[in-house]
Amino acid sequence: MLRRYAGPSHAGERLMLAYVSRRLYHAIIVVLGITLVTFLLQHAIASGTTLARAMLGPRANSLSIDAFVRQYGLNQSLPDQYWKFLWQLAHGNLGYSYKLHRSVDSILARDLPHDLLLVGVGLVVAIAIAIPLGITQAYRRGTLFDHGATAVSFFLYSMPSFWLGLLLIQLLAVNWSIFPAEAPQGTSLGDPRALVLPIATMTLVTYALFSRYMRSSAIDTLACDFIRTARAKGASNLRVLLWHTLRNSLAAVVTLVGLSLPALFTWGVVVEYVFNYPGTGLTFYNAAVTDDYPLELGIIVLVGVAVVVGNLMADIGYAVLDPRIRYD
Amino acid sequence: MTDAAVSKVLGGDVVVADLLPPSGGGLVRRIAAEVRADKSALIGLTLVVFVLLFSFVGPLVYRTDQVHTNVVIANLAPSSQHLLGTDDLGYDIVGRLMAGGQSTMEIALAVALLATTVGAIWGSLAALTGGALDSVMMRAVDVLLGIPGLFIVIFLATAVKPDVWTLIGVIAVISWLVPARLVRGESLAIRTLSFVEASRGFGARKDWMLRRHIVPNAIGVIVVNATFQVATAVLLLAYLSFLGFGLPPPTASWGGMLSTGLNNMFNGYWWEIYPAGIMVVITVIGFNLLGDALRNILDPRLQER
Repeated sequence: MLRRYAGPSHAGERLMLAYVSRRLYHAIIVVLGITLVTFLLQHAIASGTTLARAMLGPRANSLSIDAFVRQYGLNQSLPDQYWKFLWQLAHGNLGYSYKLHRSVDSILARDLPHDLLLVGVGLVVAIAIAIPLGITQAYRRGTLFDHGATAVSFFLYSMPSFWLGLLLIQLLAVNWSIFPAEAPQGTSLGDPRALVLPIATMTLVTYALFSRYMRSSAIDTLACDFIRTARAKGASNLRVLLWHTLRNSLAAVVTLVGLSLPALFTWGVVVEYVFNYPGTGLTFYNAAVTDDYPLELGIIVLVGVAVVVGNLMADIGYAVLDPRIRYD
Repeated sequence: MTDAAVSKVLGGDVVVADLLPPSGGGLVRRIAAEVRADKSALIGLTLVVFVLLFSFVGPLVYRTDQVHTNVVIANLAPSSQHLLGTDDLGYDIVGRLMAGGQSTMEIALAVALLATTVGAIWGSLAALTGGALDSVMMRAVDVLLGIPGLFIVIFLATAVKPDVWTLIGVIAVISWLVPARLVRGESLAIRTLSFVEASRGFGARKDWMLRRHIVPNAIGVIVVNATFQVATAVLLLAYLSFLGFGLPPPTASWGGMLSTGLNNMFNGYWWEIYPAGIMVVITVIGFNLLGDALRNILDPRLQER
């Protein structure tokens, strides 16, 4: 239920606290659900000796398979195994990749900084484009400029992200040889020019997702009473747009970023595959191709938790930043 | 109950039309009017019809061999013999686009139908029962929505032998979630509309309200969402095929064609990059525009325009 918020009060704070704790409780339930689904998926696909054989390879003899099954408790009951899986997760242990002979934690620690760079820079640039463009579109609603910008973002939105990457490679790496087609390899950044195409792809698809929301958010804001009041008080157009509308658009961005994490992770896999970018997405792809189940599951759990936390932040951020709205 | 009787019960100053669901003209007439009035609806319809004709009627007109490889004619540039050239195995690209379109449309339409049906049943059941069962059912949806779809789909796709049926199943596993949430929300919202409350006030039974009010008013949302689901499924299938988890060769798929294109990119074979991507884009744009147009037609709240 939405309730009009009449001003700062203790009752408001209490409601807020109750809302946050209810959302937190809900998030914990969903995270537990995600671990259960992941665990069951794994079991549906390979369990017991099948799993041991998949991990040890086709040349493993029955002796080593038996040893593996006993060592990792694969012959225990499902609830026991799930409890063990949960216990390990609670201690920050996402599993062990028998194919790469490394812990999933260490693999992710290696990959995640690369993802932060790709997704983070892409996100920031996309927002930096989407907000001013959205406000301009809202202000000049119905003009050729507005229609043109809408058409471009609709086209980008309908494009598979990998094809956008292919087009950028074709134009900027093959035809004109301005940027390298492959992302920098290894741990160092290497040639920063090699980062341009993957980040540009990420930026464009993210912009396409955000732009329509930024436009409609700015349109909603411009229709609000306080904008009319500001204008009546003689505020200039620039002040209305920069001060009032921009602030509200920034609040909308918090929600939008939190809710767009699933899309960002999805594009991460595809963009990293296209540009051979050494991040979690590419690692997940390689794990899927090599049937490296523990690595796949570890990444799925991590991504799932990140999405739930993102949703939580979006909900709470929205409630904190928009003083008009309280949930009870 | 006649209008007069309703207005007598509610008092004279209540406008009866406000309480009744908007009726409007015939559906066909409304669709025709919408298509005439809204250029984007016309574009959407045209694109969808084009993709369907191209994929299913095209092969009858433009005959190509999509079974036997022929490396002698591999990677040929577009010519009068091969309108868009050939790929690395000597398949004609236009013919390949048609074959890929068939499998894409079959899978995407089946996914949309399956996912929307399951989602609608799940969502309306949750909304009608309420209570603990509702919570459990919707938490299940939350959990599955918490894991980005492509990750589940890739995980499942590696475990099954990919064919049309398994791909429909794999993509449907994640596609029913959004319709389920949508239909539940819609059912709950419809229950509070004034004409539904009025009929409850007159003593209408639950099943009558479901048949008479909830289903007819939610069907618009369901159909609109099914249209968007087709677009989403086309994209997801393209992702899967591109990453190599789609239909195995020699079956054609747009994503698979683009994967070949990626490998041959530095040879300058642009005809292996552009056509398949354009097909995906126009299919997705077509269904998205069609969905927008259908929403304008079917959503009673948007009809005041």
